Amino acid sequence: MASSADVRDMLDLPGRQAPPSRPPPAKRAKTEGKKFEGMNRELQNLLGDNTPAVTVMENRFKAKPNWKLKATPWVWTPFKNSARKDDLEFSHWVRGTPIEGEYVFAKFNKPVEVPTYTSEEYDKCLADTAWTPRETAYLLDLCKEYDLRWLVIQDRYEYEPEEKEPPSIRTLEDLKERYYFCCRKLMDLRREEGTVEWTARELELYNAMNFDKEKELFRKQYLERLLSRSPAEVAEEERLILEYRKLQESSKKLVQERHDLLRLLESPQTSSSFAQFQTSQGLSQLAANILANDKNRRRKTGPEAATEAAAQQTLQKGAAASHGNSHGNAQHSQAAAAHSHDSKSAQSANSPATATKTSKADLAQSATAKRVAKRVPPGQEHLYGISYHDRLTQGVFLRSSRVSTLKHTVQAKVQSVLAELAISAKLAMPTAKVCERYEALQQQITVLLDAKKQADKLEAEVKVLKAQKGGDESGE
Amino acid sequence: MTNTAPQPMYGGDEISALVIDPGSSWTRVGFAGEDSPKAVVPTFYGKAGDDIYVGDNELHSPRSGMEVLSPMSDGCVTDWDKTVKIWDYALSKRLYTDPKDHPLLVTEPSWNPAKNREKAVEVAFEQLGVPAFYLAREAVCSAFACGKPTALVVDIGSAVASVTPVIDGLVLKKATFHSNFAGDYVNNHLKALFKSKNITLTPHFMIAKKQSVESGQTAQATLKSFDGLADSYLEFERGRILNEFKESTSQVLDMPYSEVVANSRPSRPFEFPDGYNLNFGAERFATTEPLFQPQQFPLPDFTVDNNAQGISELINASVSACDVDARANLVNNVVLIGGSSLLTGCTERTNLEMTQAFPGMKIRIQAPGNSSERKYAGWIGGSILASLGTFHQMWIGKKEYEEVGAAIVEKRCK
Repeated sequence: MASSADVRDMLDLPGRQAPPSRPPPAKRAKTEGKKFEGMNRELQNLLGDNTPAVTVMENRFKAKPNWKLKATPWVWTPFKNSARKDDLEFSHWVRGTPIEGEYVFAKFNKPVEVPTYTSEEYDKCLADTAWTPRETAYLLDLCKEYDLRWLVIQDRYEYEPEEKEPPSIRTLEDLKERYYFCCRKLMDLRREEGTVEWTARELELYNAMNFDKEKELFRKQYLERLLSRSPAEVAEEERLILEYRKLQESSKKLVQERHDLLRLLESPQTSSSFAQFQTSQGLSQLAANILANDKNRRRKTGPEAATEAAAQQTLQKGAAASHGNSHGNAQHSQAAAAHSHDSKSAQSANSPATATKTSKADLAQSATAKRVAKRVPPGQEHLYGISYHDRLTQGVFLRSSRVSTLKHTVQAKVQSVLAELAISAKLAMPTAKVCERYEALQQQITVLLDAKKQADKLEAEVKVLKAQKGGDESGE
Repeated sequence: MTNTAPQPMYGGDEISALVIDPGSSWTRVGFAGEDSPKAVVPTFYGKAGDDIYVGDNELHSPRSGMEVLSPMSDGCVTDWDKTVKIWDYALSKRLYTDPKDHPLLVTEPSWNPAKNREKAVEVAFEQLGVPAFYLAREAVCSAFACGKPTALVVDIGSAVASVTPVIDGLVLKKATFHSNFAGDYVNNHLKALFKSKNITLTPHFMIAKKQSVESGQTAQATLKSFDGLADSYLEFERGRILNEFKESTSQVLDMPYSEVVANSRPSRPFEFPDGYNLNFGAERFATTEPLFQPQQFPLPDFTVDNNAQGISELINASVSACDVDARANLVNNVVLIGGSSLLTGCTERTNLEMTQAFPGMKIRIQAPGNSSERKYAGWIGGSILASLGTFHQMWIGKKEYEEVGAAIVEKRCK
């Protein structure tokens, strides 16, 4: 027998309590022993003070009956049902002493409310050439009897006209129309007389009872047509629905692709903070960064390395932010746009932000621009050789080196298109305007190439589907 | 001591009512609240001179000159004196109970004429002396037995096949259709088949001794001899063989009938009471086909008129007679019951026929898997109804009957 104390002893752990004060735990163990029956005493002792990890369920089939308690007798008791008009008595078994009171099921006896009227009221507002007072009363009676279950009412409608009356052949809609007409008219009458206060509920009821027979007939006609489709029609419809789903799916894909493409054409917005560049130290560091960046770029033929591009991206964002700070908010996007060309690959992966298009108008709003604009008439900046720069780099450079390059694969394709247009890849006179136009052209060619790729893809799809359809028809 | 009132949620409140469901071949009798009838007795009586015999034992004993007759026609009770005798026998000899102490619920077909209904009330109060009475529509009860307040009840019994739309527990009378192309009609076809094959039907009670013979060989049986047995009695006894054949061998083809398919199905042997046995192939299917196509499968010396409706036509007629709004719901809640619906393949065939007739709708047939639930659906529904707490306001009390007269049945039992 090893108790927890033994284990403690073996491991040289200090005992929880001094041995003289042991008796109470021993007592507790005993009571616990009583708690978990069906477990070996030895096993239980091993547990010590811990709660057992396994709950031992004793196999008790039934709670022990209490033999000493007297059985509750069941008494055959007569009862009356208040839902009945006569006082017929039935008997049922009740446990214990029967309780006097209303029969429990009587409360379920709920008749439907059908309006009643006097003959004067009928003459005043319910008179109708197609209906006699007697038939109206008959209809309302049936409505009450069958709780407004219209299908049943129509089934049981067997009005026998009096001698002078015309034979009545009533459709379900006729019956409904008449009933709702009567209800509404009577509600109107009561309201005018002022005997009934109209609440929101009554108004709702009044509007709900606006029965349009023509509409109902139309609805039923449509329903009938829907239900009486031939198996071929049903199959055709199912096929069409399936096709529609397919089209929907593909159009969704197309929209998504187009969206991606459009996003590619737009520039991103800055999102990172520029706080770090607000100090002069930060600013000079930024300048150094940009310089290093420039050098890097010049050394490389293109921005192939994706990691490089991503690193640049973050830097550029920072740069753009710093400019924005000094020149006002309008230049944020402009600054970012200046770098958008050479960081295309990074953009598509990096910025889901909706980019704003940059324009001269944006720039014109900046403070310096405003000052210049005062002197120079709008639209004539180029005449005076005024140009706006978002960023000026130090030193001398060749403008042609500033022409943005594209991805290798894309570049090759663009080159071939340019060759088709008889434009040399190396610009003979790279003025600012020429460079700008050249870049725009390059940009458009990329868009064109993308569009062509899409068109080819769709065309191929159409071809395949046509081939499939042809196969189907010939198969049939 | 504790007092527990009946629980409204459970909805039941037993008042120890009796339920009788008279069918064309069997009358089901029992206590409300139970799940199957206590006694099922044949709805036939034997008549020899002035003596009337009812109950299984009396009916099947060969007596000279005893005619076996039915008190029913077209599914409705017509001979009330004999019916009361049968009910009395079932209640006193089988249930050991006195109808004077118990409310009584009796089922009736939906096409029961008003006069007959009044007669039923009269009989219940005057002859049986019940304290309370109710006449419930069999179709409604069958729908309740399947747990549906709204259903299209397709009941294929022995004498009558019927289709009844039930809306919220009320029968649509104008859309109820029934025909005689049911179990007994299949029996007639079987009889014609055996006649064409020169097979004599020797009832069980006549066989004293028999020897087993090879398939198709003449029977070797010693027969008992009886004098003066009436034809109707012999027919009644032969009917048991036909029923036996129908239950064990007959089948409904689960696709539109064609001779080729029927022939391709495996054949099944059947041994007659005298030991004669034979394999039956396509006949197993051909004899049940008149349930669905009465015109194409007429009896040899009998022409079926063009208005005759098989099960599928009955269903079509019934559904088209209902309002458009109700159709989809009904077709989605078809309850298939009745003893003849137990023919193998009947449910599948009905489903197929309905799918073809209503291609645009969703069809769901509920046919209880338990054979007794199928045969006694009407009784079970009646048992449920008569033990509902909310139903107890519907009973026709004796006092009411005395005040208003039998006409109260039209007002109360809708």
